[in-house]
Amino acid sequence: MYKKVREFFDRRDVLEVDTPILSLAASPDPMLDHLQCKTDQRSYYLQSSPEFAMKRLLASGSGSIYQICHCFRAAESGRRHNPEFVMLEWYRVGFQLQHLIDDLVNLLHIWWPQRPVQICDYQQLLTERTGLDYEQTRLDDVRAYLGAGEQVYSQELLQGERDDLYNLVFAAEIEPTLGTECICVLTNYPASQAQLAQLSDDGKHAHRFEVYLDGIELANGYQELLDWHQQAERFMHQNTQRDQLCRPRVNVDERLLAALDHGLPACSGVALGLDRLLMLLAGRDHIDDVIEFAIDRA
Amino acid sequence: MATVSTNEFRGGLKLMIDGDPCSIIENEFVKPGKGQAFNRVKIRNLMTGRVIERTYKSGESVEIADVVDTDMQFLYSDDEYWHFMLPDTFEQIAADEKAVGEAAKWLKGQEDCVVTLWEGRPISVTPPNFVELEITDTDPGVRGDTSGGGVKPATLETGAVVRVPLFIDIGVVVKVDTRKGEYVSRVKG
Repeated sequence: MYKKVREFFDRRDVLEVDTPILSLAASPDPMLDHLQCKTDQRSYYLQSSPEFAMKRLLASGSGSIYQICHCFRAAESGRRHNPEFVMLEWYRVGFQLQHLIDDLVNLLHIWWPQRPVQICDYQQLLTERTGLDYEQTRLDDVRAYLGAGEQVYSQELLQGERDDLYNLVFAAEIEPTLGTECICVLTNYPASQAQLAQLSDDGKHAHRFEVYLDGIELANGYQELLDWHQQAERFMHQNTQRDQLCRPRVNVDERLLAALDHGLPACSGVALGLDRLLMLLAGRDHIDDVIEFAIDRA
Repeated sequence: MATVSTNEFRGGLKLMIDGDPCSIIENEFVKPGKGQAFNRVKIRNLMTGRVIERTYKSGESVEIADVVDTDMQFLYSDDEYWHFMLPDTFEQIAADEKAVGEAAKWLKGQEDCVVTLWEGRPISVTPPNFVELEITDTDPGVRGDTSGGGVKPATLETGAVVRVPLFIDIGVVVKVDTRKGEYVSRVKG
């Protein structure tokens, strides 16, 4: 699998890079718990993804790059999660989102040459499957919808905000069926789920996609946000969200912001979980089956 | 009220759900896309035996049930209660029919059982995996009769009925697996 991945990028003149696993700053994504370690009186985060370091390389003129590296997320352990996992992340300079989707599909066609590609619009799919309208349906009606389903949710979960509730709907009703006999690309996310992606011209949607195979989320990609003001604002907003969730604030990556200020070339990037790819290739339904020494035996 | 975070969920952990003590059978961590993570758990209600599913926000706290499994010796039963004793303190407790349930048909006295106590009250009884009981009633076996697959029903001294090989007669003591309700072997007398 690794050999095929490297051959794929070699043929496309994408440079393999290797950035540090330790960093003074990290992503303030409100849903992430970072691992930290200390050396020389300073505390470093173990990367949750190589995104920030790679963007600094892009800003310094690296051109298209890819990396295979270990990433770390505390408290994520389950059928599809191990706190330490292997990520394949790549950036293509000058690519718009659709070009990157094509790139990713070409990579997946190495292993599934016959699988057709299905592009789904987030809000359209939601309405088709559930009758709920992301923008119109009142939150209490979403809660009632969740309450009437097979799953029984705790009160605390049902008190969540709009995106939290729709996450539950997707997880229970939609995701398990995505990518059956096909490569499903879910796209056009609501702007509030943009993360590090650019927004559409009307500001309502994010240039972001996720790829599903056999109900497993395999990859997440963005047409990258280039504006450092917007990026700094999102970081600040995310740290405020962390306060509300009683999660520790995360040091904002000033070096990334400086790099964006200097100028990130227009590009799109995507991260793909290689352990999950291996799960799919091996037909296993637990990530521990494809990691030599999963966290319980690390 | 003692609580536990979903991060510490594991099989066998006892929780209070809707006023009933429950035991976790399976705990699954789910994190969709980039959103809020949650735990989907399968739980057995210890009062009714029913299996239900619940979904909690990861990191949420849930009340712990004061449920302990205690090794106790079965003493005797009267019309209403089955009496058990803690072997080290000789303390006795009485369990009603609902708590003893299926275990009753394997117990004659002195068996080492596991009694599940909720806030000190017995809610279920697990008999030993293997018990040795005498056959009190069974038809004489006819050699070569294979119509019943080489086995026949036999009633044990506790009233339970198990299928035994044809050569087993009344008065024989047999070893039975209580988990499956199956004959294991003849016990040499």
